[in-house]
Amino acid sequence: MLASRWVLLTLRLAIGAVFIIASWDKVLNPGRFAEIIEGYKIVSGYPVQALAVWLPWVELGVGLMLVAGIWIRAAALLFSGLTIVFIAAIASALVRGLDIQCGCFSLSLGSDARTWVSLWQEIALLMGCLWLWVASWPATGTQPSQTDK
Amino acid sequence: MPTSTSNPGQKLASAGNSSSVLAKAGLDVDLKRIAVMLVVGLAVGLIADIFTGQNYQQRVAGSQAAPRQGPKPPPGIDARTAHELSSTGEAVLVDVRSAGSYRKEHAAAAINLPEYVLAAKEKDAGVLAKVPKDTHLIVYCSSMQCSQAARGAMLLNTLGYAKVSTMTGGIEGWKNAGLPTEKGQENDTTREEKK
Repeated sequence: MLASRWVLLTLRLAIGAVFIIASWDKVLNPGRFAEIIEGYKIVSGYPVQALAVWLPWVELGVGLMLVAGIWIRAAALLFSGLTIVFIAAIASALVRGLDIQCGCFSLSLGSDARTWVSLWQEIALLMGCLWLWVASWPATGTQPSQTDK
Repeated sequence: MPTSTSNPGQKLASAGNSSSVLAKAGLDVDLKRIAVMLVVGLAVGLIADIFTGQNYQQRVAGSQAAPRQGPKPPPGIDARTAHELSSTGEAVLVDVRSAGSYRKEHAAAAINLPEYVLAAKEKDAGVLAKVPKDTHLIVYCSSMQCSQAARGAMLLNTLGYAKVSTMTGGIEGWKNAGLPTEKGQENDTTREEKK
């Protein structure tokens, strides 16, 4: 029942929409996004700039693919990987007590409480992505799209 | 002699083997598609930059400069000078970090105006409404590396505050200089922002 076609369709559209919305601000403001990445103090210099321009486009493109039903399994796996990286970055920033903006869904808001909220949002998103990936295998669940055959 | 398909055990083993082979093949396909998506994402990003007439480093720099249009970056002053000016009433300290960070610890007598609140200019009716435009404002964030102070200072310039400085070193520099700090509630502006 949980892997029914409609549940998976809703999940796929919701996750795709979340990533599209999350990417838009970053696509338009790569410099602001670069500052936020820098705030995590994990990478610096050239890789920050590359990530700031690259990551939003990947999020946007793959989000659109998920909504359109193209390569669903691969898209869900990629988003799972990205979300794990985001969770690790946010958790490490919280552990180190860094005063940062998450930069997860918007570039304009930020506070400690919101960073904690963002962490839980990312964990929920990861659960959704993994579920979508697992349920999209023909042997384990309903196949939501013909494109993954 | 029984065939391999007539033995239930062998049948199961065979099914197990074929499903693991299928799973591996499926995963390989997924990984290849992920590689394609990453490469295409990079290509689209670069093409978008070509269309905007800038390479991606310039685009990053341009975007960073965007909120800084108008006045030049404000002068930086050290924590001790900032403390002297603040304690004599010649300047007001402005903490542009988040409300949560401000609550934990901030420079004595500083007001809290998170940079993201300043960026939403309609919110300036809060704390700023009580601060005359000719006041010398000294803006700080968390440390030497943070950039919110410079951006916040320039936003204050655009809101009509002509005399705005940044405090080099941020709250870390302030504490390292042994200057007094306070813990406390956020002010009206940040409370309004939360609603």
